[in-house]
Amino acid sequence: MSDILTALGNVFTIGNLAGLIFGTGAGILIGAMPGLSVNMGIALLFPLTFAFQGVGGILMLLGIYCGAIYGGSISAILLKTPGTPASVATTLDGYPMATKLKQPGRALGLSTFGSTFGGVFSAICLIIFSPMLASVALKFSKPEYFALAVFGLSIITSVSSGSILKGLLGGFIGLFIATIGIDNLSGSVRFSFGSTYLLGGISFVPILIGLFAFSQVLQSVEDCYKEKYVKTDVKLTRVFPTWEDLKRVFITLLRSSIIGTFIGCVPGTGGDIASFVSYDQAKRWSKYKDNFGNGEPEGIVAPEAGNNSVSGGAMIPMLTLGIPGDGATAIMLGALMVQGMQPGPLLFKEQASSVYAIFIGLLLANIVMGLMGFSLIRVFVKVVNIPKEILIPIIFTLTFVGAYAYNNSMNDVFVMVFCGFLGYFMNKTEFSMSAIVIGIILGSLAETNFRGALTMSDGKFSIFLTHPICAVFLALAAISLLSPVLGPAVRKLLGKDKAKQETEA
Amino acid sequence: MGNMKKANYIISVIMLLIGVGIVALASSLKIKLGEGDPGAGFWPMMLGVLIIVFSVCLLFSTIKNKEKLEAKAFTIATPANIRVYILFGIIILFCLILYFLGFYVGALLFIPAVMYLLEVRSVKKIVLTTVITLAAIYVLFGMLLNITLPAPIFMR
Repeated sequence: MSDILTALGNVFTIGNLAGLIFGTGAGILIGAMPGLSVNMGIALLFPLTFAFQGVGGILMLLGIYCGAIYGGSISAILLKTPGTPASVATTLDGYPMATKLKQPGRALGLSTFGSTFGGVFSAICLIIFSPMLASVALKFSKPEYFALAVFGLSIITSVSSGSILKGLLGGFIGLFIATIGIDNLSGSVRFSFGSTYLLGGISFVPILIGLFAFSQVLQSVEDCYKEKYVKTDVKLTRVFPTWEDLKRVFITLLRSSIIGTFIGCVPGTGGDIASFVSYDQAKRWSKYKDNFGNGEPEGIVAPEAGNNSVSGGAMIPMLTLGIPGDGATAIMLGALMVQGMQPGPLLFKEQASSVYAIFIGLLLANIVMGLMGFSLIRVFVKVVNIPKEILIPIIFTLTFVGAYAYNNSMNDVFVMVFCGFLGYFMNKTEFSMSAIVIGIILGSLAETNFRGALTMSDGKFSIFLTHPICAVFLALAAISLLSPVLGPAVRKLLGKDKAKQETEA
Repeated sequence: MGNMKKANYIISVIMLLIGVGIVALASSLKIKLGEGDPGAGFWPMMLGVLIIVFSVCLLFSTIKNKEKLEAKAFTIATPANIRVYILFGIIILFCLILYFLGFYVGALLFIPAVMYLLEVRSVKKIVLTTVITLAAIYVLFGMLLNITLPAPIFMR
């Protein structure tokens, strides 16, 4: 109880609330800009959180996270250009409602309501379920932690949509980057080549900004070559959904929020999957299924509630076990670590007040997001009209500010630029950037516990198989890693068997 | 036009070299198996070996699927790409200016240069964007958040 009161006291200060509100607003703006993803939003705005001590920075980060997910729906509805991949499904009914039915305010209102409902629902689930999971996970020792890290790493295959082999290579490079500097266990210096900068290891922040923000802006420079600027004129009247609309979509909202929270809990998934599954289920159960694709209210709230409820769902494994659910939560995990937290079961024991502050913060961020969405939507829609030739130099400048701000180091700026250039080519060659980041984030956890487990067993590798939970997680990781190879093989086999049976029949 | 086959060959070779480099460097660190902690070199050595193995896998997979990968093209030398390469040069120059003359002088030149490259020819638009961006950064980062930005070398 005292932890909850401490957390409430920490959250409800003018400075911290201002940080949360600012973060949410900035997240919505970034999310609303076409072509800027949630990952990019967090990477770009994350350096702002350094200015806040303790909980303040974390609250701001939560605001950015929730705001950026929701912001994606604004450009999806108005321009049919989703700000984030998770908002692609929203275009299916949002854009027709805004254009064909000429009701952009109604579409934005429904998406805001759906996003807020989904976000709040998943935050409540996080509050209820994560302490239960954490109490089970508290029994874990080093082999289990190692297995968890490997399980977390196994989501690399899901985030590497282009090429799994390149995703795995990226993951190993990330794990290697995490080894640079002084070894925590033996104190030996590894791969520093005599550089003082490398002695402390390469910071995660410039790599994150370079790969997710800088390289994406370089890509935008290429994409907008000879592109004609088209201004979208949006006239909004009513933005709060009517009582009839709310009654019509309520069950869909609830179903989509459950789906999104559940999908969020499963590592390797994410907002895009949640939004499409929610949309599909809404269509399947709807009385108005023929109206889907023509501006159906349920078709707007379903993907939005689905993708926003991923935020709380994905934080359940992230906070309790220290494993990220998707690319965005991997960045959030790294960001929380930079803010001085070590997500995992011990977090609930050692930094309980911070955990409660995250719970309250996430709930609050979603409420603030809804309030801002309804009251400031007219401001946010203006963002979609900012020409790229103005936006690009501003974002570039902010990436430099962010990379420098973390350590006040020009070396970080050089690392960021190098990663940005590299990321531009990686993007073209289907090399997953999320895989590298996941490797960097989980690298230290995996190595420390791997070596710790071997110390426990006097160097016997069998420890990883004799601890049942560890063995189960390693088996799950193996299944997850091999699923892209085994999946088609199993389908082929089943298909062949079916064909054989049909022939025999 | 580049294609994924060529890209994969290049990536395989680069990764193979990185893997070999990691193994070579890790071998100079302590590795002791069968007696508790395997040492600071074991984990990176394992990563180096895995990188080598998966680079070879990528190489063979590319050879196996070469027709399919050859058809997968991406642009590397179109005017749009060349514009990005020019931007690379501007960014490198900006880094040097940032290092010697500090953030504000650097950004004062960088923002107009990027806008010019993006075909903005309106002086008013360029000046306004530069001034408003720098003023906003000064107020937000410098004054409100107290975040230090690179200063000129003679002021450090």
